[in-house]
Amino acid sequence: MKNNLIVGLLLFLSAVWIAGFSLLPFLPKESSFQVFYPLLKISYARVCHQQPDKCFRINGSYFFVCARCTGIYIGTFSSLFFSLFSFTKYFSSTYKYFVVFSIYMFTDVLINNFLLEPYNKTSALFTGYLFSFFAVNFVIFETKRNNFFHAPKRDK
Amino acid sequence: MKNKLSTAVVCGFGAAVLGTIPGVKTVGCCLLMPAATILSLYFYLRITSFSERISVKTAMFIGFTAGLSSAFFSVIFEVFSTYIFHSNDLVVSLTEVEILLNSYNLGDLGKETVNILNKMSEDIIKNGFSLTYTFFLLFNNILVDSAFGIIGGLIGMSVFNKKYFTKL
Repeated sequence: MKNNLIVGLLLFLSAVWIAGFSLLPFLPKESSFQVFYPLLKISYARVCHQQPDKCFRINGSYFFVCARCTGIYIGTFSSLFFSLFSFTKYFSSTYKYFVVFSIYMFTDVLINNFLLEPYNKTSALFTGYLFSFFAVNFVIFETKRNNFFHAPKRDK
Repeated sequence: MKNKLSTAVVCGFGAAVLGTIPGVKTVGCCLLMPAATILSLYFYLRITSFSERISVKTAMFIGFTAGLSSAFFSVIFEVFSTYIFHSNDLVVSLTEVEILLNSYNLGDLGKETVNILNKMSEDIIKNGFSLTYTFFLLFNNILVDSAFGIIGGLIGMSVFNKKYFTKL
């Protein structure tokens, strides 16, 4: 129960974070929330380069983070969401997936930034999503092993 | 304690320096801070001769400290460069933001926001420093960097515990 509460809290925080960079383009232009535009743009600039050609554009406005970061954050959210369900306990070792998709993403970073022209947003989103999905899954599993979530200690 | 602090501060400083380089930020993106924390955890393990598993508490502490260090140093760099050039990202993008907000017809709220931004921009152009902008930047960087530092700490803990302290 306590595990689910912690994961639920993290899920809420990641949802707020995702809403922060993606919500404004979906709101009407007269909405008073649009005044947060400069504030949010500066805030998200801390964690992303925000180059327009690498960001998704909805209703004429760009997201505050690039396609890869969008994938990473959505992957984090969905991984946390799935970890609330009991069937994920059968994913006993996601370390290999984490390593594989890390390499996959970093290869895509190199190819997309230095070889491909124009930038492929779809592959950036996809590789970012897979990387963070398995990274978060792996971290949750290892954190449980370290007794942070009060789960029984597993064999070494 | 000293080992934890020193590795975290050094790597936080490294992240702040790298964050100012545009090319590095394009490639590193949001993974720069977590990567710095993972590196500081590795240095911590090297200093302690890989004697014991990293606990969640240690990973979070190192991540948080690296984030704080990165936030402080990056604000110092930003303030310093703003003071020298009397310009920064806010000043450069202000016209574009102003046009955008005016086109949204937000009424008094929009005008008030543009006024605040203009005031900060004027301070920067005139004196090379804006107290409001610096406070906002410091608050934002502390919040974001420490959160990403903790995430990096947890990823590093998971990787190193799996790699060095678990039979695969």
